[in-house]
Amino acid sequence: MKKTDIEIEFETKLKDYKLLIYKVCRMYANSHDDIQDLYQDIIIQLWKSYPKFRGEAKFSTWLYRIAINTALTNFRKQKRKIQTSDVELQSIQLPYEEDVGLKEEQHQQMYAAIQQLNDVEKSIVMLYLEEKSYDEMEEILGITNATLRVKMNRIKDKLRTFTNNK
Amino acid sequence: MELDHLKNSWNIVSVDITRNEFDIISATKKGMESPLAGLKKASKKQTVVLPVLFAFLMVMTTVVPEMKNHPLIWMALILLPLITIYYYFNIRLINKLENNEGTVKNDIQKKVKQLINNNKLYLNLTRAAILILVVITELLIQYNNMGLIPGIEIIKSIMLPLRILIYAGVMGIHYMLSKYTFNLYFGQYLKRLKELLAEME
Repeated sequence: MKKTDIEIEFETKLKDYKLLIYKVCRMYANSHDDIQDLYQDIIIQLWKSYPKFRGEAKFSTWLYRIAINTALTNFRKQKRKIQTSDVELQSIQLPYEEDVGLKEEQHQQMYAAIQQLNDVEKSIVMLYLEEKSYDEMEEILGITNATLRVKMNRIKDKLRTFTNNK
Repeated sequence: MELDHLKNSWNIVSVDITRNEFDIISATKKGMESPLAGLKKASKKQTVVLPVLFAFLMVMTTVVPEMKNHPLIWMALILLPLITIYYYFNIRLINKLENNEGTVKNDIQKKVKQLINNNKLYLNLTRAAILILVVITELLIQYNNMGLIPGIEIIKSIMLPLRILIYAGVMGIHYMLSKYTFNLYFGQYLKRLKELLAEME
């Protein structure tokens, strides 16, 4: 099927950001299938919102907003997560370990600890790992700079507690 | 181990995103599967089926005039447009909820507001429709236009205080039903959005 101009434009723009979307999915989904589903949901949401993108924010900021929003409000995945038992949550493994290439036990512990955070905290951690400044985080999440700093400190404390308890 | 130590490994991701499952266009062709997509599909179907049924009943009452004397037909003719409006409101709301604009927090706040306001608007509109119906019924009774709506004689035979009680009961049932259906369709979604907002504070 022949692609329309807007499809080509969208695909070209998105090409450089596939990895970024994958990372959002990796933060919120645990299994390979869930990552794949969430990835597709985010792409669909981006596609639907693309005609309204007027360049007021940077493309990456716009993309982060929609990707995180989709991951947070994605009810279907949420339902699935509720069905996951506490035991499973405690022993969460790195998604697609062989692909990601993170073998160290400490890293696994840290990822398992991150999985115990709430969804908003996860998005803050993700942006932090992506080396976003607090101003950029504010622009994406809409949480004030001051609140983000307080939250980040709390998150670090929580993660320390979670990893020390292992 | 500190979170900062994870930064390097976080950025080393070697997943093959050129695989088919991560293809952009194949995903966009898949069709929307958002949590509200099922409800939207069902609502769209209802906004077609219900007006067709309404039109069918209207035609039938013209072809078979005796049908006009059946209170159930009148009830259906009143209820069908109200239910159609309900599904129309659902579609309108879901369309708004599927849009993403601005920061994540602002967008969620906007959606919560939309859900609450939309529910209020629907509740008030249908409540007004019921009130108009009550007023029309009372006017018909007062002016002895009994032939217009079949079954109205039964209503007239009920004492006024009891009638008022029945009207209040209908309004109460309408409120309960509206609340129940809203919770059934959007309750979990609204709860989730509110939880997220609380996490952001």
